[in-house]
Amino acid sequence: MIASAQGQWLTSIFFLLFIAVSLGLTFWSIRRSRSASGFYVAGRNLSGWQNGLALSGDYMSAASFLGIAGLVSLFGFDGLLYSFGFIVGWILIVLFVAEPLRNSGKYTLSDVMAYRLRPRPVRAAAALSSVTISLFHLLGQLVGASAIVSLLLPIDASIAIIVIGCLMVSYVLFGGMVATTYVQMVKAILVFAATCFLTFLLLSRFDFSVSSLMSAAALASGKGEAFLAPGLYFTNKLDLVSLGLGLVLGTAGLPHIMMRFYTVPTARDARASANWVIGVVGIYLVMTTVLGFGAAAVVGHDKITAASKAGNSAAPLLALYLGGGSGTLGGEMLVAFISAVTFATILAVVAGLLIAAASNIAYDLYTHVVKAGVSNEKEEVRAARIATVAVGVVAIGLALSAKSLNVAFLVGLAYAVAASANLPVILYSLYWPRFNTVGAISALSVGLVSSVGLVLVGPAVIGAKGLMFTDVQPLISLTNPGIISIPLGFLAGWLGTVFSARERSSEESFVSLKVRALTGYGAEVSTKAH
Amino acid sequence: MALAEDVIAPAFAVERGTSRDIPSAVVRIEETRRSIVRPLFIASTAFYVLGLIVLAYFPDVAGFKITGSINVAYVLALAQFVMTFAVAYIYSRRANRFIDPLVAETLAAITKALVPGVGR
Repeated sequence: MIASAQGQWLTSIFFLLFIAVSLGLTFWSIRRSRSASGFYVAGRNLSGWQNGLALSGDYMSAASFLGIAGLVSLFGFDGLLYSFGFIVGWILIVLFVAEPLRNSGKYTLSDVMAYRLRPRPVRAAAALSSVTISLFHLLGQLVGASAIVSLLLPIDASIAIIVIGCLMVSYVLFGGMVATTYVQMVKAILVFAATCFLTFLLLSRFDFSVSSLMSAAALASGKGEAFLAPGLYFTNKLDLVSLGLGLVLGTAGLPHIMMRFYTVPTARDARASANWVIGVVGIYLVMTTVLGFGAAAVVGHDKITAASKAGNSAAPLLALYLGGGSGTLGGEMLVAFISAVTFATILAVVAGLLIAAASNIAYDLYTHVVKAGVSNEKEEVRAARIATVAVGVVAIGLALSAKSLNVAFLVGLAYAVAASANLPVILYSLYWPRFNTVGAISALSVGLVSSVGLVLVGPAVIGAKGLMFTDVQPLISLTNPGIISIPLGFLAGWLGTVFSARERSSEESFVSLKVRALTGYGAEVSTKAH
Repeated sequence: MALAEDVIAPAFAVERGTSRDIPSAVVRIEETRRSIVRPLFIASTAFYVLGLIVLAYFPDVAGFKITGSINVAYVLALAQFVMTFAVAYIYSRRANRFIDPLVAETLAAITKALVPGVGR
């Protein structure tokens, strides 16, 4: 526990305030999320900067806010790899995906694939991989969140999971994408402001010299120069490259990120939102790494690991020291604020993941696979709401049973599945005329099975550091499967296509897909707010 | 207007699903996009992969101090951010200037040709 008893009162007050604001936003969104396009994509009425801010919020998760700072504070430079992997991935999105995706799809990532391929098998396979991605991600966030919450407030991990789970279900169930987006925006502003403020306080202690901050960090870490160079965290070189590949290529296959591009009216707005993300998240990520070095210098290794082994306490502890130390009003206020912001960020991120998973189940599986596309608007929204509750309950249940396990690898796994299964199919669908249904199913299944399978036999699950069989050697030494599974996914898509019969309908629809993707002719339009 | 003739007949074929050819105005958009996107993509990929390889396999280079405690590794990491900003900026500027007007023109021509009541 970091804060004192009074500090926890302050945290609770800040946190309750955020809950009140977020529920208010949800209530205000009810009317706007009654239609199917209102529920799934906020009626495509958001402006570029609003969507950009919400997308940025998806990246300002507890994992990046506390995780990167923690990793840098304990292992130095290696923590930075996560931060620039996250941002470089956006180049791919801006150049190849955002605009054509906005023009060609409706509610989910699978729309782009189903446009030219046989819709039912493709949607079923794509929904399976997308739901797996969102569920892994959700589980990783929920379990991580419960550990973080019990670090900051005197409540049990199970209660934390249940409270966070119920709030995320309420946002999505009643407010759909509208509420999810506004909660995400409010939170993005809070996190960004908090990070700027902490960075300012920190750098002012070092006369605004990053160099002297880093010297102090290296000295205090006890590892000297090695702390500022790569190699302390990733001892396996290939693992480092594999993680880098997964982070960069995974972003463009993440269902909860990609469906956000449907919430704006035009492809130009989609481009604008991606630019906003690069600006906001880029600055934010650079600051979190500075905070990590700052925590190493100001708080010190021993005090950080004493509060939490993984280093998640680095940012809140840094806030305590920068505010004036334990027991001072400034310190307590700052910790309380940072803790409440962390809660806010967890809530907003899990809500975004939940609506993505619910959309895949309701819209892809139910509306298009089970009902073969024949359903009315009312039925679609009802299916989406039922799916929201179902996914929410399953996620809470899984998180409760996994709460004592180290499941941090799940988020990395979600990126690997996204890069190995979803990305090849999206890129082939948009850019390869010959691509067909067999190719899509091959890429999706090989990408999904190989990335999950490699993690199951790798060190995150088996062996001394894993979840089970602690006395057995893992079959492969890679924690991150990307370097093997991503090429396999792309290869499977290519082989499946060239070794199966040409699909005339796919090649013909490719022409109209091209026209639509490039010009926006026939693209879904926004519903005017009324 | 040449563009309209370029677009109308092929657009009808596209609409009926009988076309195997992309209307030439759309091909022009695609080619413009490609000429903007390709160099940016190749340059940024090369830079990222090179950065990863230096960090993973060349510890002496990565640990080399440039000024004070700032080493090559940290500068390489920051350079990845700068590169991403630069790519997004250059792409958006060029897209605004070269792609968007083409798209607007083509979309108007297709809409005029295919949607009854528009432009008559």
